[in-house]
Amino acid sequence: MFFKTIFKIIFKEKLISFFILIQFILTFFVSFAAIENYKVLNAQKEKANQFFNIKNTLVIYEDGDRTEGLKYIEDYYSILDNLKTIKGIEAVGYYCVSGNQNYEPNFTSSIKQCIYLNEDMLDIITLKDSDGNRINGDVIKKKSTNDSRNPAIVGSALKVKGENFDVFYDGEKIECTAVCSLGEKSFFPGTQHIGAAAVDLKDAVICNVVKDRFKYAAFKGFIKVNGNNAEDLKNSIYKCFKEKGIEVRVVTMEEEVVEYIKQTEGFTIMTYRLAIGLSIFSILGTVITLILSINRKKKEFGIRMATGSSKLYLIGLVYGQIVVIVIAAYIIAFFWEQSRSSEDLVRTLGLSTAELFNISFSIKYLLLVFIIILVFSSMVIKGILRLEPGELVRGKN
Amino acid sequence: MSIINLVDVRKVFSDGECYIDVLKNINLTIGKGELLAIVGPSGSGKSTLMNLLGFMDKPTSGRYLLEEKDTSKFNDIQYAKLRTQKVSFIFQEYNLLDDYTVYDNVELPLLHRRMRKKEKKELILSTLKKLGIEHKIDTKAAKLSGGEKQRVAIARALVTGCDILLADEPTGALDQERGKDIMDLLQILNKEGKTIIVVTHDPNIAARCKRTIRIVDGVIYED
Repeated sequence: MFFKTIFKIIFKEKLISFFILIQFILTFFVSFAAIENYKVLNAQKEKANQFFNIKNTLVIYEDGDRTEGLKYIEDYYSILDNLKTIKGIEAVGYYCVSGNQNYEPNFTSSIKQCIYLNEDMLDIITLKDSDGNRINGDVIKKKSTNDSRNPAIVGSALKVKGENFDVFYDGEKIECTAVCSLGEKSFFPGTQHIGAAAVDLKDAVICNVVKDRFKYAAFKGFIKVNGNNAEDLKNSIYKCFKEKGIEVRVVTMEEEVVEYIKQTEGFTIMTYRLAIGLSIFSILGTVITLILSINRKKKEFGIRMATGSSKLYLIGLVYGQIVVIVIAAYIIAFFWEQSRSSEDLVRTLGLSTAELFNISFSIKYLLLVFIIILVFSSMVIKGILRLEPGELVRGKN
Repeated sequence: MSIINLVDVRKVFSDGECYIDVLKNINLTIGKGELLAIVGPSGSGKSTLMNLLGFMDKPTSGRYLLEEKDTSKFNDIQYAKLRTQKVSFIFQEYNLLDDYTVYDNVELPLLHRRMRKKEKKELILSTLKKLGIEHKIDTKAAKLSGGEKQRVAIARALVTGCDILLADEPTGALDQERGKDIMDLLQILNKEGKTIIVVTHDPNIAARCKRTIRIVDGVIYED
C-alpha cells in the first residue's frame, strides 16, 4: 500500500519525477563510466608495460596539419634515410595517418619504407596464411614471447601486386606469408595489413598497404638505436628534422609509455570529476526539489495527517519517492552503461564485462548517495516535523 | 455513557514572545450517540477545541479521556492511529486532494489499514452508494460540485467506521438547500449511532442538534 501510494505520487508529479530521474541517470551513467575507466586504466597500464617495454627505441611524433611545405609522407623518406646515417641508429620505421584521419595510409605505390609491427593488436588480428587459412592472433601470441615482440623497424621496401605483396626485409625479398584484415574489430576499422615473416611467424611484421599519394595528417616514426644511447640521440634527430623546418617530438619508448598512461589517466580523472560534479548537482537538485515540494504540498500533508497519516509516514512517502526514482535511474544507467561498453576493448584488454563493472562498489556508491540526500535534506525532515494537521488543513501555514 | 471527557484542558499558543490562552480550563463530557453543536463568535476557540477533540492538536495541559482512556501522553503515531480508528473529520472546505479521484480520496484513511484490495473497494463503493455519489467514483475531486465534494468528504469520514464524527462548519461553503441535505445526512448518521460534533455559526444548524455548547473567549459559556 505504501509503495502504491508512492507510485501514485510519482505519477501525479510526473515533471518533477522525470527531472530527478534524468539527473540521476546521467549521474550514475558517468559514475559507472568512471568506475569502468578506472579498471580500463589499470588494464591499459599493464598492457602498455607489457607491450611497450622495448629498450633502445625512440618514437617521433609530428602533426602533419601544422607543417608547411612537407605535406606528403614521401618527403620524409629522405630525412629518414639521413637519420640512418647517424651513428648509433640501427633502423628506422614509421607509419602515418592519412588526411582523412582514417588510419588508412593510402600512399603511392612507390612507397619505400612502411613496415610496422602492430604489437598491441595481436589479440584481434586474424591472419591468412599462403593457403588462405586463417591464422588467429592467439596462434601468433602463443608462438611469441615477450622478447620476440620487438617493433619491426626494418626499413624495407614494399611493392603491391594485386592481392599478393612482395615484401622486402632489409633490402632482401622475403616471403609474404599472410594477409590480414582487422575489419570492424580493429581499433582502426578498414585498415589493411599484410603480415610478412622473414624467419618465423613470431617475427611477423604487419605492413600498412598503400595505394595512392596522399597528404598525411600525422606521422609517427620509430628509431631503433644501438646500445643505450637513445637519450643522447634525441638532439641529433631534432636537428635532422629542423634542417627541413619540421618540428617533431622525440621520446623514448619508456617516455611513450608514461605519456600513454598519462593520457588515459587524464581521461579517467576527467570522468571522475564529471561524476563528482554531476553527483553534487543531482543531490543538491533533489534536496531543493524536496524542500520546495514540502512547501507546495503542505495542505496535502495536512489532509493526509487528518486522515490518519503520521509524520513518520509522510517522511517515508517523501523519501520513498526519491528512493524509487533513484533506484530506477540506477537500473537504467546500469543497462545503458553495459550496452555502451566496447566488446573489443574488453577483449583486447583481457577483461570480462563483470570485471569491468564493479557492482559492489557501485552499490556502495548508491547507498552513499542516499545517505548524503538524507543528511542534506534534514531541513525537509524538520519541515515535516513542524507540520500540525489542524493548522495545515485550515491553510494557516 | 461518556465517550469523550475533557478535564481542565488548556491550549496556549505562542509565537515566541506572546502567549495566548485560547482554551481555558475546559471541562466537557460528551456521551455516546450525542449530536452536539459547538457555537461561538470568531476567535472564541471553538475550532481549537475541535482540533483537540479530533487529535489534530495536543492540549497544553489537562487530560483528554477517550472511552475512559487518557490520551494526553500519546505520541504522534498514536495520535495518527486515533485519527483513523476513533474519530473522523468533515471540513468546511472539504479538504479533498483535487488531483486525485473520488476513490483515491475516500481511500486515504484506509491506507493505514490492512485490508484486501477487493474488500476495500467494496467498502468504498458501499459508502459512496450510501451518499449517492457512487457514479462519481473515477471523477477527479476538482471536477465535483460543492455538494458532491462535501458528500465525498463525508464518505471519507464514514469509510473508517469511526464512532465519532467531527464536522467543522460542514455547510459553510454550501447553499441553503445543499446545506440542509448535509444536515439531514448527519442526523441520519446520528440516528444510526454515530456521535456527531458540529462546529457552526449558523443558529439553524445548532437548533437541529440535541445539545449546544457556546464558547466565548476560550471558556464554555453555556451548555
